[in-house]
Amino acid sequence: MKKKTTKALLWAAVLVFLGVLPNAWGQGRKPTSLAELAVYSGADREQLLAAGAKAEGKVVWYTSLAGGSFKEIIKAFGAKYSGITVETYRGSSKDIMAKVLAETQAKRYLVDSIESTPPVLKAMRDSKLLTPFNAPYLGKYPEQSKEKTGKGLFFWASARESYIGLAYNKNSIPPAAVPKSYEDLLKPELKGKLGFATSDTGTRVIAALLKFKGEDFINKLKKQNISLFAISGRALLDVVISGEVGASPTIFRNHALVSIEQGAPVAWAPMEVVPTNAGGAALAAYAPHPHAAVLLTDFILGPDGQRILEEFEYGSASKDYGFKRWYPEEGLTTEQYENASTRWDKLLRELGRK
Amino acid sequence: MDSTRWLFVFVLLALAYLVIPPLFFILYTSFVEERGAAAGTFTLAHFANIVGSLSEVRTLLWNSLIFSVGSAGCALGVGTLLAWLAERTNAPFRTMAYVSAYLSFGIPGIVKVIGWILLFGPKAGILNVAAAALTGVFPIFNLFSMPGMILIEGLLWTPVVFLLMATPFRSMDPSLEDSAAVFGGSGWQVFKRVTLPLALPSVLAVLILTFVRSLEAFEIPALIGIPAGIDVLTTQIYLQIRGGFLPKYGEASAYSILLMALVGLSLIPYYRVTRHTHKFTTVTGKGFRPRRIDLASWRWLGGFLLLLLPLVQVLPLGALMWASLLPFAKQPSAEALALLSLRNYATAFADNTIVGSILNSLMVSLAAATGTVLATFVASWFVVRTTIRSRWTLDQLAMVPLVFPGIVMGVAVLKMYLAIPLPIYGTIWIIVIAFMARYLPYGMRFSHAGLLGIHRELEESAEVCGATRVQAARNIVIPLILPALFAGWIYIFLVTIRELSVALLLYSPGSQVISVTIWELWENGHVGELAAFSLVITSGTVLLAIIFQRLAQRYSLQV
Repeated sequence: MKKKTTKALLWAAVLVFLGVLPNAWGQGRKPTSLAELAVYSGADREQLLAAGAKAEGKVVWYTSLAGGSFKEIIKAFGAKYSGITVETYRGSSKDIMAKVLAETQAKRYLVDSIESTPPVLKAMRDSKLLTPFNAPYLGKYPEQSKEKTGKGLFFWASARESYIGLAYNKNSIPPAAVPKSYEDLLKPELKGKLGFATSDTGTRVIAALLKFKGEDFINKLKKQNISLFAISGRALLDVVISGEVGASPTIFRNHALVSIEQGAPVAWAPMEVVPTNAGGAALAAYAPHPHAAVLLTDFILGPDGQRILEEFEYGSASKDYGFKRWYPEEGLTTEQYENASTRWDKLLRELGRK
Repeated sequence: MDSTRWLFVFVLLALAYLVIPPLFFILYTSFVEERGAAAGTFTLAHFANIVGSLSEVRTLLWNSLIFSVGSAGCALGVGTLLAWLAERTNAPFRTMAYVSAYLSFGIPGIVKVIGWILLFGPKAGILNVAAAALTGVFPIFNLFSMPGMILIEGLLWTPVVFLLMATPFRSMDPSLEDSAAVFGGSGWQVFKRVTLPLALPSVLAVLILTFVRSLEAFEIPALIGIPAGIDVLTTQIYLQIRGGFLPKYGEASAYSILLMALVGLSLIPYYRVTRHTHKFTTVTGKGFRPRRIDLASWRWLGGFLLLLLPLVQVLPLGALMWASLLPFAKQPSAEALALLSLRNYATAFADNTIVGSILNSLMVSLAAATGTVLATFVASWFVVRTTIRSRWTLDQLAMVPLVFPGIVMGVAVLKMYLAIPLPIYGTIWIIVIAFMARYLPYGMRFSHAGLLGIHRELEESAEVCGATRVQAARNIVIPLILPALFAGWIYIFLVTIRELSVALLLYSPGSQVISVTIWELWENGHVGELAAFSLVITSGTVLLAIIFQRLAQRYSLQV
């Protein structure tokens, strides 16, 4: 009896398969793998990804965005596509680099989508840890904001730019003492009042000081009794708002503008060059949730994500803000950047050492 | 081989698995090239790099030593004075001091440190600003300095020292002091010649213990030391991994070995001192009550000092309470009062990651505490109750993690699971394993002490009546030792739920635990949410600490 039933079931399965197959061929095969999904340009791209993502149930996102913006993105993504949990790791690009390297070594691929600075993305590209992608909305992006693979695809596209400049507490720094250039950081009124973030934000400011002012200047700056904070630039801004630190040249413009809107007693000013972090969004090569990975990356780079980032005052590569931008990693290979970065870190640590 | 032997081999292998590979991977990582064409080949470059900047190593060692000696001295001085006041004088508020000392176990270190920063930040700390209005001196105390680090670390250890020192003061036979007084010794002479030498072994043991714990400390060096420009070995290890563009595990491991050597060397005198404590036994069969000195009019000063213990717990929590109700940092004022709301609580608990971290922590600590207590109970049963020749190996293996500071255990376990094909990296289990390895010595101590208290006769009677050894252990020893094991379980549960340094390098998205969530919130500048989350968590852990205290009292257990 049992044997008969099994046989009947098998036949039924074969018939269903034969009946379904031509139908499926008729519609054209739908993409299923990450590589296919990443470049799929059918009109139903979003529906297909959303349905697949819902079945996958979650997406793991590593981001260097700080403050409220990344939480807002998660919230809006959740509201638009219900049933997909976003697990986030927010860290500096150094944190994300360490995490990605560890996962690669352990062959435990956790991350789906990444939003971080070019040095991390370049290193990942070199280690073949990114999936090239393309999407309809990328056509509107300026050419220089996309990292091309050479086959009409992209490794990442710049989701936002963050500009590092000087934020100061208006109650702690008298107007005459407000620095207008790096040179002004040496003003005696600022002694003991300056703070640097030790995250890559601080490192990149040191890079700018070294390139445009020289090592002697950094040695002179040491005499200003600088405090270092092992926190993000965003968190350091809170320290400036509280008055604990009078001024810091390692504060992002967008964070400061958001706080100023909320009535915080701070102001932000660009120095002669503005170290710029271009935050690129990319797809991990071994994303365990391929549909959700592409869907989230699309969401960040598409109109929804861009609107949120604009609300949080992030900048765009195609706009002029009236100051001179400088990209520390420009023209450097990953190895050159690593070496340079080690030197900048060392100078930064020495700057704060008592 | 009988079942007892099989069990012995199993426990031996389990302990060896927890302890030996991390040790191996720290050594291995420090001696091989990490990247490039030569990756995996032997090198001395990591050590050469750290020794190459000799002034750097000297600064790190010097800072670490000053910090640890200072903190240990501070904790010992204050803790011993308070213990003496509570046990040997008639100063009031004794019970409050005891209760707060026990409850301090429940408050995560990182929470207290952040509370102190909110109070004594040199330019905007609530108390510094308030004191400036009264005294005109600003800042009255600069927390971001070596004395600041020492004071806060010292205060963190004061309740522990207080509880550890209260025991010898309580059990000291006053007739020894009386005899000295009868022979004409003055108060000071009696103290110098009798009281002090009697308390000396305990004092030394506690001094070394707090010294070692401060050497291993991470929260204060990271949150206060880095802004103050004062690096110590633990923060240097962390910065080698997270401070540069690419992680430098080789250098981190080399620094780790330096730190482990320092901890190991410091533990030698600790065991020398504690081994001979029986020589100074002052508890005998004689019934006595230690004499309490009448402080007369100084009584209230003593009481005030004893109140310091609850005060140093409540103050940082008060600062966090204030911060949790405000949208951004602000000094207490009428204007600030208008801004108070519970919004931070709502935001914090609407966040999946934050809520998820509570569940993760409960799971991790539950698993780590249960695993550790089970393994160490069986191990100590073998050590205490059997005659298997190699049983001491179990004891020695379980003690090895004493030389692993939390941050080093993090590096070691991370490197191990990146290299071996067991897929636990990225899950909470990697943290469970690291915690089990790190807290083996503590589990061993609880079950060892518990077993020693149960006389062999009871099992022998069972065996005479025909029970096997395992049956006797199951039906007699386990029910009797359960309270001690439970106390050990809660202790490990409590320390792991607040532990930051081990978990910091091991967590991944989805496997965040409470302490790393607090760390992340601090790093990203969400102080209001951090404060709200920390206070709710602290309420939970303090409740656990109360249960622990009840148990410890009922079964007169030593922590």
